[in-house]
Amino acid sequence: MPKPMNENNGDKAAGKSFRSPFKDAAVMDNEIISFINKYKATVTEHGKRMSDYFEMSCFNLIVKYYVNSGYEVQIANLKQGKFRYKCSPAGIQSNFSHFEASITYGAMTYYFEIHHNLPVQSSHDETIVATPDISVIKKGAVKYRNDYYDTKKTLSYVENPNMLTFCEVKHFAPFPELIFNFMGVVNELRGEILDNSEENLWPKHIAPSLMISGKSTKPTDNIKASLEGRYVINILFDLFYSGRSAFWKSGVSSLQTAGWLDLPDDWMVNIPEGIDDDPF
Amino acid sequence: MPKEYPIINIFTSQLPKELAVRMYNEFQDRMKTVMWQVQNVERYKFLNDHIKLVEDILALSIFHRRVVASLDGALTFFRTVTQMSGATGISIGKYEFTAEEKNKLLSLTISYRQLLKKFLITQDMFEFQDTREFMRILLRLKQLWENAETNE
Repeated sequence: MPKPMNENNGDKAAGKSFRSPFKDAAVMDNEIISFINKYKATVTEHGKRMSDYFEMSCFNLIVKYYVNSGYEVQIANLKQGKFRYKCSPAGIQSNFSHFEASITYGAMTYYFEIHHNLPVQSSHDETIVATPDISVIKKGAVKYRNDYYDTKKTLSYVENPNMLTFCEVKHFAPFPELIFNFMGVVNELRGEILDNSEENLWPKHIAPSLMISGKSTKPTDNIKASLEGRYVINILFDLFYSGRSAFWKSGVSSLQTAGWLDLPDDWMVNIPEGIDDDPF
Repeated sequence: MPKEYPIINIFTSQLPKELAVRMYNEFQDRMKTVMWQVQNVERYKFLNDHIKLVEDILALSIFHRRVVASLDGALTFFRTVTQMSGATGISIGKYEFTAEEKNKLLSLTISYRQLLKKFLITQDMFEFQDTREFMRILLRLKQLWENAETNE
């Protein structure tokens, strides 16, 4: 259970600058109302962008992951001195800003880009795309085509082999179907994960991740443990609070990285001899 | 005497409908549990005299999770973008998130935290999932204030 308040401040509780909400409930009520009235216009203005802000917060965590994993990260493609944030899959990618990450091993430097709302070609069918909230791709790999929609509208996308990893962001309380839906996206964009045939990536990248704002419950914790045990993915809860620690320098190693899952030697079922024989 | 509105209505008035409805529904659902606990669980009966306070703290917690946490996220991203580059702001569709707007949000979050601090409420108090956990936190808050006043 979280601590309700900083008990170290208990001695100060009787001080004049602190008020007991139990004795001064009316004072507290008035102060809350004054606060709301003072900032009503600000809250109203920003209230319609709460989901965007949570996505931004997760975008920031992924950038932090790469910084804390030893990458050099910088911003690319500012527009008129501002970071132009892509709010939806529509729009030409080159009109928006993104992050660039690079890492050097010996004489080799590897370059990647971290994008928001970039459509990614399916791993099963190159004629279709899905758009994860965040994707990490090889540098300069964004492509454009005009034959995807009914009209001549341009689709910006990345070919599947050029996408290293991706993250889905959900501003919800977690529930089973939300998590299982993510497995559908994993199947479409990185089908190899489901049969554990994905190649290990070098340099390392965060494994495909589902980032959820809400706190988990016992059932969703069990689903997380089960899916993460079977597939190279991360399911992260409570990203406004405790979940953020996975992206701290001391926490990044707790996240799975893209590649094959190191399953125990006996993970495959032993098939008795003769079972493959044609029964007819 | 002016009409007194429920605190959740004050929090949600003028918010976008979808957000307002979610906040309102969460408040009503949790208050049902709170009221049941207050009426049926001996250790929470003292809250019968503090229902207004319970409503205030519950509404604050919902505001915290559904509004303040997102605003904090926007501020963090703004800081990353401006520190990593010479960017002066973020364009989000037609909306320009400038340093001036950032300062408004910062002012809001600072005032909000000062408000909590004044009543010795910390943010982790709002990290509950289950309403019964919220009840236990209220109980601890009460005990903490009693201890503080005894030591005065």
